Amino acid sequence: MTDHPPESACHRAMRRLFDFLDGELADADDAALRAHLAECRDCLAHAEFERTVLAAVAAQRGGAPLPEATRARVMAALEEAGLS
Amino acid sequence: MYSMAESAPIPAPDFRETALPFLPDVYRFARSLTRDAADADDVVQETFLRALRSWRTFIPGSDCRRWLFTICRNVYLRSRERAERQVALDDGDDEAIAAVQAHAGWVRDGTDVLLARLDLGPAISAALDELSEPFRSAVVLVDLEDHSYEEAAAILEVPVGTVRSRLFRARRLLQERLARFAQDAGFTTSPAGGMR
Ligand SMILES: [Zn+2]
Repeated sequence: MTDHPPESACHRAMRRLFDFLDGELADADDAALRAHLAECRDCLAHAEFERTVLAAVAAQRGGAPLPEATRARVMAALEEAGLS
Repeated sequence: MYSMAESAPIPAPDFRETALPFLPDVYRFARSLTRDAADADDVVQETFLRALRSWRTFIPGSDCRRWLFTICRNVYLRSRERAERQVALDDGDDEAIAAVQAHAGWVRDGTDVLLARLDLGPAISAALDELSEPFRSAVVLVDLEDHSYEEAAAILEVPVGTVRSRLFRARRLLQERLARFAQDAGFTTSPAGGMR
C-alpha cells in the first residue's frame, strides 16, 4: 500500500494541461494554471511542447473538399431511395 | 364543413434544405475518420441513406450537423467490420500526466532536439493514419473539427470524461509516434550513418 503524498503544484498543473490548452478550464482554474506556468520553467516547457504538437495536428484541418463525383453519387442514391 | 382534424400538419423539415447542406462537412469528417477517399465515399453515401430512412426521428430545430456526425461515426465503425475494442482507459488526468512524463523523458535523452527538427505536418498525418479507434474519432472531433469536449461527447454518445480520456490517450499515442519518427530520422541523418 502506498500513501499518497501531497500532490505537488506541478502535478496539479499538468493534470489540467490539455484542458487548459483546449480552453476548457473555468476562469479560476485557468488563472491558477497561467500563474503556475509563469513561475515554473519545467511546466512551461511541457506546455510549449504540447501546444506545438496540438498546433501541428490542427494544421491538418480543413483538408478534403467534397468531390463533385461524390456529391452526384450520393444524390443519385438518395433519389433512388425516394428523396423527392 | 371542415372538421377539426383538418388542421394542417406541422411541416417536417425538408431533407434537402436541412440535411444536404452538411454534405461537405460530413464528407470532411468521413475523410478524417477513414483516411481514404474511396472509403469516405462509401461512408458518406451510407450516412445520408440512413439519415433519409430515419428522417422522421430527427427533431426539428435540433442540431442536424451533430445528428449526421453521430450517424456517420456509427456507419464508419460498422464499416470496419470488427466491433470497437473496449479499451481500458486511465482517467484523463493520468493520461495528461503520462504525456508530460513522456516529454520529460525526451528532454533527458535528446529526442526533443530531434523532434524540433522533424517536419511535423507529414509526421502528424502518418501518425493519424496509424491511430486506432476510439482514439482517432476523439482527435478528429476535438482537434480537427474543433468541437468542445461536450459537443464531442454528444456526437460519440459517451460521457465527457470518456471523451477526455480517449482524447488525451490519443494525443499521447500521437506524440509517441512523432518521437519515434524523430528518432528514426535522427539515425538516418546522423553523420555516422553516412553511406560508403
Ligand atoms: Zn511546475
